[in-house]
Amino acid sequence: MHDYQSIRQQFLINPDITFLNFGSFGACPKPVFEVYQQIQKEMEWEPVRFLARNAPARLELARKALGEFVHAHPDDLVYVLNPSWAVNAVGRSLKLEAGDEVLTTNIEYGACDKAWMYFCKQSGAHYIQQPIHFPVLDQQDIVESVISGITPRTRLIFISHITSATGFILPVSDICKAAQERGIPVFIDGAHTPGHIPLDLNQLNPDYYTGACHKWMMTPKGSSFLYAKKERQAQIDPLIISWGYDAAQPSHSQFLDYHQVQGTRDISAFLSIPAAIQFRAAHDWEKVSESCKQMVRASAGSFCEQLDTEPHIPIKPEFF
Amino acid sequence: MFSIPINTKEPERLQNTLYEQYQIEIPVMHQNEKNYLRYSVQGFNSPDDLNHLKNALLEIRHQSGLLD
Ligand SMILES: Cc1ncc(COP(=O)(O)O)c(C=O)c1O
Repeated sequence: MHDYQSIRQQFLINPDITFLNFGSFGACPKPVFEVYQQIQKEMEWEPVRFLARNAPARLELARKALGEFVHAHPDDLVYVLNPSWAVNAVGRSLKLEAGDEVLTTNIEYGACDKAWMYFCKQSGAHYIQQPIHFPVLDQQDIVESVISGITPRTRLIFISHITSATGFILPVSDICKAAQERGIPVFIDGAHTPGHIPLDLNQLNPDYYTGACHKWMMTPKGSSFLYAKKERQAQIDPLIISWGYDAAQPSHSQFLDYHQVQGTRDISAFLSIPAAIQFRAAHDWEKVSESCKQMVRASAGSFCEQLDTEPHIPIKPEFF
Repeated sequence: MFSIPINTKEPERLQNTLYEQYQIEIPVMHQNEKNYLRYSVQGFNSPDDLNHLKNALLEIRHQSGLLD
């Protein structure tokens, strides 16, 4: 068992509350929050140097740290405020046409459903929400439910890595493989993934991936990322058109120019990500995290029994 | 993180009761006509936190109509 008492000292979280909702919004450990505030002070100390001069190099360092953490090339990652931002950037860029289909499940995050429904409505495309039947018997069931929804009009598969309301891991690796064999790009919504379960983007090889760092990675709020495979990057328009669009002095990457230059904004949360990664390493957080998951797995069945309900998923490690 | 399937006719009141009477921050999720109580465990959570939830649910179920 991890040392929850000493860990609690590391957080600002209200000690009078039993906080069991890290899945909605994470909490940032004190040392990471201090780095965050220090960065904000630096910005106030020399705003022009900070924002106009030094931002690209500092963002690069932060992308490198994140790239190592999620196993991706740092130039294939851009920081965004939240996963909704990433979904909107990609959704808007797909240029869906009437009759096209975006394939997904009926257990996605509501705000993402809204975004896709909006893009589909705008273009006359269809948002196909394949039903996932409960109780889920095994992961293969889910792969089949999703893949059986592919038609000649499927433009994209959008799927959560870990679902929000139902709270379990989906077989995204198998879905990626099966979809890509059929030439369908896959966008994975990994809002709950980084820092919660291991993430290796090189191995997973999705076309698009978004993850929130401010949940289980414990970074300050408003730090998330959009990953895109090299060959997909040119297709994604910036959500906010700014100096990076048609840049006068382009960097080595249009993807970075487009999505990293988004007008004046506070990038301190992004720049705090290396500190959050260091905090994890210094406190052996892989072990802490595993111990937390064991607590969940050990209690899940008895909560259901207590309330006379059946678990909607098998109580097995591949679902947690 | 695990979502406990629950039977409740008043998901919002259940969530408010857990917070206001038991000081437990936990979401009641609703999707496809089903309700779930989703608990997340992070490093600062102790087994006592889960016991507190368990006891709260027991009490709520016996003393109010919020949980079937
Ligand atoms: C599965 C999933 N996707 C996306 C999000 C998006 O979060 P945001 O509203 O911060 O963009 C969340 C947040 O909880 C989520 O659980």
